[in-house]
Amino acid sequence: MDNSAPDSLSRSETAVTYDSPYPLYAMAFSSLRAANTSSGHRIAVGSFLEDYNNRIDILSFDSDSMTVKPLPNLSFEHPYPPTKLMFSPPSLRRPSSGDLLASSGDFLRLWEINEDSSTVEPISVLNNSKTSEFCAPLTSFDWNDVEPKRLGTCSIDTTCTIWDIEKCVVETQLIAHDKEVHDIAWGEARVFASVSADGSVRIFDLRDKEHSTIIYESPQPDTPLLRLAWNKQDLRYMATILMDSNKVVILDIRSPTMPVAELERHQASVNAIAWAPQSCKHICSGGDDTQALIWELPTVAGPNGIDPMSVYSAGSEINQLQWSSSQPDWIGIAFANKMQLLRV
Amino acid sequence: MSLTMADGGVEAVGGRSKRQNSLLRKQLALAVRSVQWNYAIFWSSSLTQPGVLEWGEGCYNGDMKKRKKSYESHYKHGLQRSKQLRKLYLSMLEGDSGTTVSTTHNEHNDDDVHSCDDSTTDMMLSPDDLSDEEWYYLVSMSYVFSPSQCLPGRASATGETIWLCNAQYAENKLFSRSLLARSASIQTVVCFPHLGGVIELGVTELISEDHSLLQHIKSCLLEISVHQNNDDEKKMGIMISEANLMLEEKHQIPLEISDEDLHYKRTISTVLNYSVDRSSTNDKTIRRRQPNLASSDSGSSFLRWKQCEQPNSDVVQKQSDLQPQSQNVLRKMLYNVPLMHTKRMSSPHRPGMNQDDPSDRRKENEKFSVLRTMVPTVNEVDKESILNNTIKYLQELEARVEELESCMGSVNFVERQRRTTDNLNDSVLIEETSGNYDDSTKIDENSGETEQVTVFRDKTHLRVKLIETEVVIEARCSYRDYIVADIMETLSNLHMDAFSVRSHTLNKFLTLNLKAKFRGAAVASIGMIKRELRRVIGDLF
Repeated sequence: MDNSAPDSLSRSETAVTYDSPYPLYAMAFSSLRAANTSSGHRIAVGSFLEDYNNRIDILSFDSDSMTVKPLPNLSFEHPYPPTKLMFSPPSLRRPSSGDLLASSGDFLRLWEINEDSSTVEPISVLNNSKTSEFCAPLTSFDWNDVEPKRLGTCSIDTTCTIWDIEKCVVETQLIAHDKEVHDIAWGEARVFASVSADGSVRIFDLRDKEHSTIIYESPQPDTPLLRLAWNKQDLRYMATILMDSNKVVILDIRSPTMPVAELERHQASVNAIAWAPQSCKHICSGGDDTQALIWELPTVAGPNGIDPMSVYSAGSEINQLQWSSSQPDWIGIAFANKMQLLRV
Repeated sequence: MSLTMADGGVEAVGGRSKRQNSLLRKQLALAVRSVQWNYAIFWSSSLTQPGVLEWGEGCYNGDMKKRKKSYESHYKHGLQRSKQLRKLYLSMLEGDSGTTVSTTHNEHNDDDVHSCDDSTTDMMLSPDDLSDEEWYYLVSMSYVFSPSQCLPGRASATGETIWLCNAQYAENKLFSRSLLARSASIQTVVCFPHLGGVIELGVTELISEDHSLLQHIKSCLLEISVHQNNDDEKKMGIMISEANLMLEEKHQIPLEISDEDLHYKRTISTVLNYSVDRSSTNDKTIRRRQPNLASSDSGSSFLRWKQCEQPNSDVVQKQSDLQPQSQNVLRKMLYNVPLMHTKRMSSPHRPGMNQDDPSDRRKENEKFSVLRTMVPTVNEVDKESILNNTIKYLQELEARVEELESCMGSVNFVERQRRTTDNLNDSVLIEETSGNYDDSTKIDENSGETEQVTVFRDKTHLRVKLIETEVVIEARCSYRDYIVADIMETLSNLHMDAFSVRSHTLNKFLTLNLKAKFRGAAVASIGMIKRELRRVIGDLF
């Protein structure tokens, strides 16, 4: 974390760090505003151990006192590393005060976190395979915040499965790509996009399952696209990252195949991207160069490309980045064994 | 027809800049074209008389005399026509004050105020050239509404949308242009407040109140206003025409676009319409937050980006060469971790993706997992324990069956071929457990033949299985005349009909495979079937 910048001290003062006993990857912010308990907002972090036994820890973050502490009662085991964690969107009205957490890995699992009784209960294990108990492993999922009972998962068997998690049934299953699907993102109640190892970004509309549209293909054929983020404030724009590339590609869904911008200021490959939850023009990216960059997308790009607005240097490669939608002033990053919350 | 003339044709009305005006014009054009209505007018509040509404901007999209409405025409056509009409109107006004040269064409106006400049420029229209609807549009330009007077006034005063059907029959008090509307056959008029004034749209068809249409029109007006910050008119023009195109697609105008594009454009328009709806409701909350992103806040963890930190692309290239394991964790997450799940049954997992070898292994694994689902007591996931558990389960089942059969009074045991662990091989298991029940009726040719070597008596074999509604019978016995016929008769007595029979006789040993269905609701138990069959075959058990 040492930089030549003289205000490195002040920087580390404004960052809140959580040290975990194991490497972390998956991370999620709860959207429950001002949680009824006094312990602030909840953050879930998932471990990354190449083993059967992994854990998910629930942390409590208090932005006023700038502290984050684990809630040991709410730590639970998870088989294999969770590839993604996500809390239920605020539009899902829940009767109890508990929070609903979804995790993907070997199956899609739903957990109920009840802080009053200090327990985490597994609610369901959802298997989308009709023939066997054997579900194709899930690489990612996204919870539809317009239609919160709808959740889409993507897996290495080239399919995307749309779940109705209220009834715990599969709504539909689409063969989305020619190769493994790496990420999925909802745009609207019935529209989602996915990226895959075949290098394409496709948009699907559930009303018209026969057709999908490729809105971008990686310039070198078959370069896998690893992650996708849809700008929830301005649904025209999406961002994606390629394998072994330091570029963040910004796409406009109205003009397929041609990216609107390529943000190329990372000094090593990019690992994670997140759009700002409150602004339609800002995006944050983190990469192997240990830097997290916040970009502001201009209406007209300069001749030398787009420069980021601000930068943060972490201690090691940043593997995960999440921008809290309930607290838009805070960005969470995960690197090595630490999770840090950075104030924007 | 009564006209009230406004003084002076002021172009830039209502205190808005020219650019805003042109933007509004374009929005109106877009809106009216996308819903295929005839005209759109923006009534703005007058500068001179507060509260009074007068002509602001307009776009005409209706029929033109001598020219059919063509969808392929660029939106600018509508605007051009509107401009022409406006010019004509203004020139007619001027003609009233007598400053311009009067010409020969002046019959059409009742108030005989009119002269128009019959100049040779293409831009000028003469009243002759106008269709009825265009007249309606033109004359509307002269209207002024005081608060709560007529449709626009009422819409502005109440702040609500007014949808008027059968405008041509409306009362004069409600809609003062009703007579005009009758001549122009305008049947539906809608007014809603917008940006301090009132937007009015009209069409020559009778369209009942349609909220979604209204939403759509409003979204046209909003969508492009999002781009108002752009200084680049051209870009706006492109976006407008694109948006125009998309919105037209939504209404399924048969333009020459392929099916694929059509579907996609429908999808985009859904997404963007949703986006607009949401943004208009969320605007307040969003705007509040937006300024907070300046990182020069004292509390921010981020530093301002400095230009000098910009690396060379060469440097980046070298770095990515040096680090073949870039995006290490992400790659592992996407490639290795999923394989951990599939490889849990086999030996240590290998990093990286192998497509060739594990495909066979996966099939095997799948079959093992199927087996696992059928055998209830399996907790372990490795192959060996699955097999062990399966064997135990089978033995349990066999013992149970024997018990049940003895309870049913059948003295004769069924001699089962006990398959030992050694004989277990995947292919046999698969035959048992797969859904392909035909295979199970096949008697292993090998074992059939080996049996014949030994004493017949020991190897006589009867197996009856009930699979859903079918009964599968496997019998091996010594042959005698008419034995097959006897068996069939027995089955018939048990209210069963055989629909598939396979048999062969070798060295006086009959091998019979039979599938039968119950005729009716009466179902004979397996024990009973066996008993009867044994009787027929020759009770040598």
